[in-house]
Amino acid sequence: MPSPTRRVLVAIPAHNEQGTIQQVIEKVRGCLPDFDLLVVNDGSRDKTEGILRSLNVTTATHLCNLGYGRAIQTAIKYASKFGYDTVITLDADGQHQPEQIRDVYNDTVASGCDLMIGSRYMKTRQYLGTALGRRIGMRFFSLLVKCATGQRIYDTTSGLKIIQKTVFEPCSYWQFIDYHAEAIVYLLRLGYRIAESPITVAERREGQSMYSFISHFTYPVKTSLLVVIGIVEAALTRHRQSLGAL
Amino acid sequence: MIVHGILNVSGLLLLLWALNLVQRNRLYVGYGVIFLFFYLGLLMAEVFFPDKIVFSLAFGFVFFLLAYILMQVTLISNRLVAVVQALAINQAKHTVDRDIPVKL
Repeated sequence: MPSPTRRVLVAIPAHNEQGTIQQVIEKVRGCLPDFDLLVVNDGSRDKTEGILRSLNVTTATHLCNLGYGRAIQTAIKYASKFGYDTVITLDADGQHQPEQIRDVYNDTVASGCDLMIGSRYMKTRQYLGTALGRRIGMRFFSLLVKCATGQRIYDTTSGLKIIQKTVFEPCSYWQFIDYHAEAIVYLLRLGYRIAESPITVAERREGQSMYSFISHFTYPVKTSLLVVIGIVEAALTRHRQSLGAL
Repeated sequence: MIVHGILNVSGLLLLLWALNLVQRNRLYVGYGVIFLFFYLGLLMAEVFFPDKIVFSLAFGFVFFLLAYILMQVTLISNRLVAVVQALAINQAKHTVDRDIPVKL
């Protein structure tokens, strides 16, 4: 069980999310009044910043767009600096349902894992209801993680993650694209525990996906490359740690 | 012979362009020196080695230079990210400052 003074930060990376951000924040505040909230405004050019100001929410603003992964990294660095024990990340597009977060958080505490992934596919273990290309990608990354670590993670690309203090340091040190398969493999190879907890998501109603047409081709290659490099880096880190322990 | 002459003049013009960039503060002086030595090195190599080897040397240099430039861009990009993140964290407008126990 967590200590009664355990501090939890809900972090929402947002880039041009004027259509949904207010609703997401209000839902989070309503469902999780005891958790602190941070929005990482990742160089939005629309009205997102004005909305955040009017809602009086703690905001870390990137002066330019750094990308989703860097926004998550900012949230982790923020949590580390201000002494939080846990960071919960969720998307600003309204796909995640804040009312489910408490259950996922309780699962995290009960399982004692270092990283919990809110999984869309854990229950069915199938990628039904997604486009063919996406389905192939999901299956590929899931199998990649399985091959690299021996552990099957069904939803490697979920934006809902519960990150414990134990992995703040490796999450801010090593380079990740979007904290997806590459981060999962790296952390598992370092010996951290990762688990999944079932969630359901709504369809994106407004705003644009962070993945462009080109990125559908570059993303798998970049992620696969980082998975391989991550395995090597994790092995070297463990080797250095073992040498340091002697 | 004519081809060699044209290539040498082209190389010299490129070198002068690079030095002009240094003069206008558009190129770091260290890179200007690299171009200067590379040009002189190729001139000497032309005298002593066959064309294929000179071409390989030039190709190797261009590849090395490209890798080096991309490395520098990555370095600058990483520094920019670190600055932007630090600024964002330090300037975050704290609206909540509390320590409430988590309800389970």
